[in-house]
Amino acid sequence: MLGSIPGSGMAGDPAPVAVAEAYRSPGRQSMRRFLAHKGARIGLLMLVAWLIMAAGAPHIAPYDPDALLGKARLAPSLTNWFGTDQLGRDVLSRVIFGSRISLTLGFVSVFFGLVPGVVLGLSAGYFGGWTDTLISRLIDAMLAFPSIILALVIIATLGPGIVNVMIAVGISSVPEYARLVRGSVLSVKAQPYVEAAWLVGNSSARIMFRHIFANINGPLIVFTTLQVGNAILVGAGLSFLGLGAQPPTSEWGLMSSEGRQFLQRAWWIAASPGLAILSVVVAFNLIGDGLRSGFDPKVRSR
Amino acid sequence: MILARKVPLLELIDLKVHFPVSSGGFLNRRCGIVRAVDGISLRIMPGQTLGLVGESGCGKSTLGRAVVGLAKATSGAVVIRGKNIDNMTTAEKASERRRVQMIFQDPYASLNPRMTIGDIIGEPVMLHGLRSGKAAVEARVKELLELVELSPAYADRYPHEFSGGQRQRVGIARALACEPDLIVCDEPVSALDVSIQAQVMRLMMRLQKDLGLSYLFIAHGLGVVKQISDEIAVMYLGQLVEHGGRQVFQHPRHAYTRALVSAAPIPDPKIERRRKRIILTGDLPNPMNPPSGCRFQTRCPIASDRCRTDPPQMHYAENRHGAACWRTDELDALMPMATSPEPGPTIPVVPQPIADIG
Repeated sequence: MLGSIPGSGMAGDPAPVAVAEAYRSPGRQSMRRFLAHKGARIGLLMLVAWLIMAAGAPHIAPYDPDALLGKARLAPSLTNWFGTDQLGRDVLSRVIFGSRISLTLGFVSVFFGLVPGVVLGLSAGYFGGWTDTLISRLIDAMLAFPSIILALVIIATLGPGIVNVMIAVGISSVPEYARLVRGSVLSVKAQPYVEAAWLVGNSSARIMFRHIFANINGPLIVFTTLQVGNAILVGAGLSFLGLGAQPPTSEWGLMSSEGRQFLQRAWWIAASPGLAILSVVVAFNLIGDGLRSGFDPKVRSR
Repeated sequence: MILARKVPLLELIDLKVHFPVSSGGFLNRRCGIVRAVDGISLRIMPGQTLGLVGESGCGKSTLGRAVVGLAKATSGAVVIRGKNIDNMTTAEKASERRRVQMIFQDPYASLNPRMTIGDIIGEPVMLHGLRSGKAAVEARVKELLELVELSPAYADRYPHEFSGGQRQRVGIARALACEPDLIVCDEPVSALDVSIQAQVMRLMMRLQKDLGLSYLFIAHGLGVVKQISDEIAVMYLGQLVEHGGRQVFQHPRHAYTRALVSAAPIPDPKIERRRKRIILTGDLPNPMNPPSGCRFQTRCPIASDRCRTDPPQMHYAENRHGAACWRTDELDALMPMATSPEPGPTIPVVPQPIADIG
């Protein structure tokens, strides 16, 4: 059996709880299964690489991202790995600096979606009745628009800019968070341990956070991780359309947009930031998949 | 004299718990009412155990939930220590609720999987301020674990590391942490292995003796209830059909109880050979639309015309043994019992080693 290989996926194994595992909390067990997932390890590696690049951009980038090097549209070479763009700036340096904006956008916009979404979903699911009706109808109304349209409407109201993109992308994901959390709350709320929690004297707030939220954060963490990748994609898309970062910022979406007119003669200007977006989004999706198999052992890991 | 008379710990007065049923769908019209508990009066004295028996779906669990406040009474009253809980202030309610706790049927779903055993048991102690300071709460948790015959070292572990019987002990410890007077036990052993059942029953009996607890013990079989109960109440379709002491087993005065008693094997081969099972046909009628007259008439082997039209009332004999049956006096002739009136064997209370094997 493959089960004897150390570190191989043992999810779904109904064998009795091993002694070594006896003191592990459910959270630590999920973590262990997550790290046993090969895709998750690759994703994590990619993400860490990007985080290091974002944090150390001034030291890692070979050139100043805004410096004009004199020669425009230079093909990739040993001096300019990713070539230069239409104004003669080093594309590699701009991609490295661009990771700062994209990663910040991913995390900040998820925060703008997660916090209100969780509060709305928890209240709707826990209190039920008219609170639920009110919040659910609001969610339905927001879900009626595709999230990119919703983000466009918010940008149109707030005006273009990278901070407004973060807010817009965040708010447009609120209904999805709220719906996910509400559904999970409903499935957990009727559990006897929640009734027992009420019976021994817990307040509503304590029941919601300590007893219900603690038991639904698995799917939420998975969704949030996938959502970071998605937010980066949508944010870059909005910048591509000219609604986010403004020139001369090194932002991936904006760089792709600027490079698209030169696609036939200088493909690297648009392709490099495009590949950067791809690798970050793939990293988050791999991590999300790994987390899913970590939290739900019934999904087999490979 | 009046002062000396004991106040019942719990009194239910004509308690009704009805659930509206909606059709769902677009209009979501109300299409009926499930009368889960339909006019039940009972009382439990301090230190006593009332066994509540009935088939699945007869409303016994709903009754238990109404007592602890998990289900809302439609009408009637739940009176705790002489005080109607509807008339209590919020603060009074909170303190009374602490004194009425519950042990749940499913030992797997009744413990929060994300909390350690110590947190689960310590939480009520902390919430109600029964001990102050972290160290005192922890000491109390250890004490409670020992009380339910679990090792105090288990406090740092999580529920998934325990067997069903051990988890049920944790559930009992959580209830005890509130320092209750009354514990509603909702089929506390029906999800456990038979060997573990006996251990948990012994534990509960010992705790009752040591702590002076009262139990409302809900079960669907007579066997379990027989060991622990001072009084037995038999429920059918939301109503009581029989209520009394041990005579309920020995000499049932209701046709339904006779059928229940006849279904249990007797651990004496001589009598067992004479035992004739009264087989009830059909299912419990729909509680949304109970039958006319006696609710048991659709399945009763000896139902008469009167049973089909007039609902019988609970009539208590001199020995406080009550039954709601029109044909009580004819039962011995119509449905003779195999048993001589002897109580079934009870499991002796023996001290148990810490932790069970299951």
